[in-house]
Amino acid sequence: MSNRIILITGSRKGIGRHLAETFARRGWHTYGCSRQPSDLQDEHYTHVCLDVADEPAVKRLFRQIRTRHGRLDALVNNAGVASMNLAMTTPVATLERVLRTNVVGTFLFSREAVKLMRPQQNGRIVNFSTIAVPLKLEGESAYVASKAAVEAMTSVLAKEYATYGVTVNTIGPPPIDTDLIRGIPPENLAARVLARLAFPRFGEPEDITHVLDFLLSERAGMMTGQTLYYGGV
Amino acid sequence: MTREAIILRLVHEAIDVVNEGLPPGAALEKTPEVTLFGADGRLDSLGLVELLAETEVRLEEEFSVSLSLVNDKALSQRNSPFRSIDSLVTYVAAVLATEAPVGEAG
Repeated sequence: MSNRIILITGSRKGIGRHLAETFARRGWHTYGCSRQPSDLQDEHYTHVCLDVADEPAVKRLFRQIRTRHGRLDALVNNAGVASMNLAMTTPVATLERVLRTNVVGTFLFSREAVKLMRPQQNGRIVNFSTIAVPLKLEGESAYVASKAAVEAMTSVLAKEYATYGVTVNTIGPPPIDTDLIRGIPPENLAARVLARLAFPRFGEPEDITHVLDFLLSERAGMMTGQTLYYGGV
Repeated sequence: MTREAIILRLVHEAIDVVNEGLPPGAALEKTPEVTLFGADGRLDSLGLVELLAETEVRLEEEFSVSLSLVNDKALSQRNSPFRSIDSLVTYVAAVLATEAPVGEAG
């Protein structure tokens, strides 16, 4: 039984769901959130329905964790939305929605997390980017811009939070078979994304877990402010 | 106990936490006139952030509210609400007056 506390955003499905299941199964006190309810049943898992950019709701969630545990060991800012659309036909409302979830959500959760991590002088924050950023992928200007912002924010937060023993890193996964990419024609993925990787294949959720395990470990205490891409981009 | 007295107690608790991280002899006195921040202030910007974060946490627990003490309005005031314990308590009381209690998530 672990006494470690982890919070994973966007945990209802996809990679977030896989991570929530994995850490709950390991006995971590696992908190997850998404707009919709989760059907994940595990005695170590608590799900909260919220919009990650809703400041009062997010603060209530952290207040709940503070009241119950008084600490937080790890935050995984997994929640994210994508928009596959050429810039010329992307509505501003879409750009704002993508920025709100990916950038505002990551900022807000990180800000509240470090307040809980600071007293213990230890903590881990892991954000999510994408290989679409270094690939400068056409048709994903809103998504890429939001994730580039997450990477830049990671670098700055790493410096601010080092004072408190908290590391902040970003991982940039390759395409993984989740809802996020399900709308993209397979031939587009193969030609435009996979062909540009050293390992031209889809990633598996376990690929994320392995890197996350390292970043959350004590051994990664000097590792901060970095973005780790998969696939040899 | 008045609301201001409760706020003062919480600010003092927050100062205790901040003092733990300050070098010997640099601890903040818990007197109304001690200059916290600004010209001749005892705290640098990081120290002020710590004090406000610790104060926020305690306010949220005590009053069941969700609030942020630092905002553009506070930072642009001619007389900073963060210059002394007295001004901080007055400012917090004003912020609290605009906040409604919140329920628990989940």
